[in-house]
Amino acid sequence: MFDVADPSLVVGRREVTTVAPQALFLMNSGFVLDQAGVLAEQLLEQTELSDAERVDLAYRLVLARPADDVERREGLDFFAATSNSLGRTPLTARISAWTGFCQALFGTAEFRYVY
Amino acid sequence: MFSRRELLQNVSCGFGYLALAGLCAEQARAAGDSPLAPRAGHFKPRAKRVIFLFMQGGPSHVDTFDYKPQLAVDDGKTAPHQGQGFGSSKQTWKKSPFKFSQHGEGGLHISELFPHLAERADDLCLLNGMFTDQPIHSAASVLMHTGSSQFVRPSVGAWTLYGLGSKNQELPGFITLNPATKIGGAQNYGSAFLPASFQGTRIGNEGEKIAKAQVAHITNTRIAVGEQRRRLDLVQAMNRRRLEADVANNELEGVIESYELAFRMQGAMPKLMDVTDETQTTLEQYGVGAGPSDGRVRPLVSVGPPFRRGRRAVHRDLAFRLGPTQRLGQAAFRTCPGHRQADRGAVGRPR
Repeated sequence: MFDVADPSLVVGRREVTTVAPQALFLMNSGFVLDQAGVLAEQLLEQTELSDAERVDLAYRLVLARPADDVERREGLDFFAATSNSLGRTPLTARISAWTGFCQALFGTAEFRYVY
Repeated sequence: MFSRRELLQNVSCGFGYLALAGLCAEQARAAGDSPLAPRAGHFKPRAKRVIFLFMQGGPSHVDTFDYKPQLAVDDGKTAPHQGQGFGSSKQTWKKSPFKFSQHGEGGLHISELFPHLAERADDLCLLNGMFTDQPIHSAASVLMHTGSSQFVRPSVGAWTLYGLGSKNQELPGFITLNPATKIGGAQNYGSAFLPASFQGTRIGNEGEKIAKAQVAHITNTRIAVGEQRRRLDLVQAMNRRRLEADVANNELEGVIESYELAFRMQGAMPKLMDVTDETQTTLEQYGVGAGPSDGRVRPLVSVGPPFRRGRRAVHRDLAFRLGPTQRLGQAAFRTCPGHRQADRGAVGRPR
């Protein structure tokens, strides 16, 4: 799915396909959802951190850089919107919100490509 | 090795890149909509769809559709180009064991291997002017699909989509069914220097039954669509912010566009690949359920009433089986335009 170069050809730069099946994989596959859940749990286990600090930690773990103010704000807005819309218990809503956030980080172009 | 964009970014403190960003922004303003929106061509089109069947491993053209009377005359004579085939003994010309005859009002020369197809000769257009200079499969396949084996160039489907767009915005405009991973792999349906959203979309995997071909991960069983859309909005916001900082990056645009298309496909694709509501006559006409091909191209070509019809190029691998005594494997490419050299290994034909 994430193409390997054919060794018998002039390939130039390796093909970087950016088509819908890859997007679908990152959106829907069990593997990605599981990994997002694992990362969310790791973040939530850090009980001494505030949510904003957790967002920063998530960025450092996934994208190897700190989150800037806009990104922190965006993360917190996302949690607020998600938690409000899900009619579950506060805890499962929270885990779900953080899983969604982690999945979004995995889905960014920045995570997929080295620039 | 630098890409042109990297060069502009780094040379002269990136002033060239500023200019490029400006140009791209202007272009984007002018274009307005999605890169896959339909565009008018220079001519009034007569074809609505292209189904491109790439049947690798098929029999030689001189046994099927390319009549070579001179080859029969020269049968057994020594070929002038020695040392290009397999083995060390002398290379001789070898005629086709199959008889050719003319068919239809146009008088097309078709071999005895296709008696039924020959009856439809007047619906066919045969192009016997193909030429190759590649002796190996991967380079030849890439040459076939992109026009060049030395340079990395876009596939014919990518050019078509780039030039004409697609009427159906819920499905990819260029798809490939069970594409090969070897013989060039993704380069055969890639977009090279064209924007990434013009690549072919894979359905199914090499070696799988075509009946099982489905776009992987098309449904999400764990989260509802509303929640999924919220997560998608978050990803897209992150990606768009990145694009603002790096306006001329067409891979980024490809990523953003691919997410939106993926979301729309979730709705459209499952209904499309389901042929259970087609009439029995239609199913039989297209060979659904029969043999290796299984007529899976049909639903993709003729999108039913709820959807608008789309223009798309489909590229597909088929194994090709010849008459009862002949089972041909991979055909080696013939390099001589006029004649064909006898080879002893790859084709497995008695000599």
